[in-house]
Amino acid sequence: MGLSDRILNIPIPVVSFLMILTIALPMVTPIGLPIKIGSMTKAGYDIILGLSEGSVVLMSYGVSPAGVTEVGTGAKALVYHVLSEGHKLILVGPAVDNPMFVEKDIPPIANMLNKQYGIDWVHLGYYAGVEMGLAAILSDISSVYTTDHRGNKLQDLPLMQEVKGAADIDLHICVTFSADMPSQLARQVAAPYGIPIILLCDGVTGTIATPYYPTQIQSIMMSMRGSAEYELLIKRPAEATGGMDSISLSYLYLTLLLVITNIATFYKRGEKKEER
Amino acid sequence: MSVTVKRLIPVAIVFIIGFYMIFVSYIVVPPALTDVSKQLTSWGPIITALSMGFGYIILMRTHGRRTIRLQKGEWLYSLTIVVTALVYPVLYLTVGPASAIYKLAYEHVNQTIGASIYAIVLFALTGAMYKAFRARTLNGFLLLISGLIVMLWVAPIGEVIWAGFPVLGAWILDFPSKGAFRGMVMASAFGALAIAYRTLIGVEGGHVAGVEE
Repeated sequence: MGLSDRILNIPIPVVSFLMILTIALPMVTPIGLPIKIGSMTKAGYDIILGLSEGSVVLMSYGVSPAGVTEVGTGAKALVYHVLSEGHKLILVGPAVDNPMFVEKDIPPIANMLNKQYGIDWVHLGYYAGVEMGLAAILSDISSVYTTDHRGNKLQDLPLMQEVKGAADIDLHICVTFSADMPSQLARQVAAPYGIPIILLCDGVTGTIATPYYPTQIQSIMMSMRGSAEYELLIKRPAEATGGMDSISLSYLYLTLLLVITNIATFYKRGEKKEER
Repeated sequence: MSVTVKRLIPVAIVFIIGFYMIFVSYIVVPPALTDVSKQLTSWGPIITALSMGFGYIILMRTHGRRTIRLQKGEWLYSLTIVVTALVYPVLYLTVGPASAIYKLAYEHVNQTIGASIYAIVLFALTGAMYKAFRARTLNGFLLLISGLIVMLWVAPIGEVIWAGFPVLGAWILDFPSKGAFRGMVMASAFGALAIAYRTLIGVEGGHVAGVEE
């Protein structure tokens, strides 16, 4: 068996084990490679900075068990930035998993910044119908929610007495793992109401969202990279910044794997031609 | 119930409500008409919630039957679904979502399984890339090269290897990728418009599927 055959016949468990190593090693011994801030992430940071104090931000907190590693930490960074700038935050969730993450992630941040529930932030909980649900919320919040996630009546929450629908919302932040979401945001948020949108999403959804940038969606933060960039922008490096070393090594490993296997295939094809 | 009633009534409902919503969206109308459209929009989440409830009943009926009949090779999985689908709502309704026991059941079961499955996908992808991603044609070669450049653009190590990776990666995303996606979005939007129009006038019968003419 020649070298090219050996390269092309590495057992999959070995390939997978090496992948585990490339992810795990930087966690034990961090490399600390520099991370450059992208323009799409910086745009989101500037939008939040540019809002006048007390602006209302509607955040669709689409963090789920599958996406928590990739976008969870970026979502927390965005919440921190919004609340620390003195803006009001309304959290909703298009999937049944989302409220659990809101209740786990947001209270510690709000407490750290001395923000009061009901005045500075409100958690309305899950809404059904994804696109239709979002359209209904923007049209009239009370048509979807009569109580918040904790069972309080909306009229008893000071923040919700001021916010009735799209006219009272200054910014929409959407955290999502759904590739359908960018077009839904363009249809239901940007086109009818012209509300600025910040999208934090996985890499696949980010690529699908680029046609809408910067006209309909003003900022796209893609995957863990976008989260890490945002953590650095607000000067609070956390899990995403730490995870970028793992991304670096694992991507480098994948690149090498692809280059070597393709060279081996090319070489083997040449050998076969010669034999003929 | 006759086929005419089964087909005509749904088509008529879609026609009237569809054109009404289009009318209200594009033409300035009295507030009373806008209020009706808002009311109709709010039905969306309600209908979705109802369909979820309906799906729950079907799920329980199907898997409940399999469990009771001890269907070979199926019943254990069905039992798992039935128990899970019962435990979470019961916990939610009795102790509430904020309780420690519900959080424990959610975070240590659902969340862990979800994250694990997503993590496993990485290894499946790595294996698939290793076995199948070969530049056999010019198109395949271009796909491979652009994929590698974008990967090294996302990873900070790419810039350490060569400063051109971020520039090339951003260019690929900004021009070829964005341009191609915009074309696809426009094409699918025109397609969706055509299907919507056909549905509104009753030519497209997807929503009344199963009802013969």
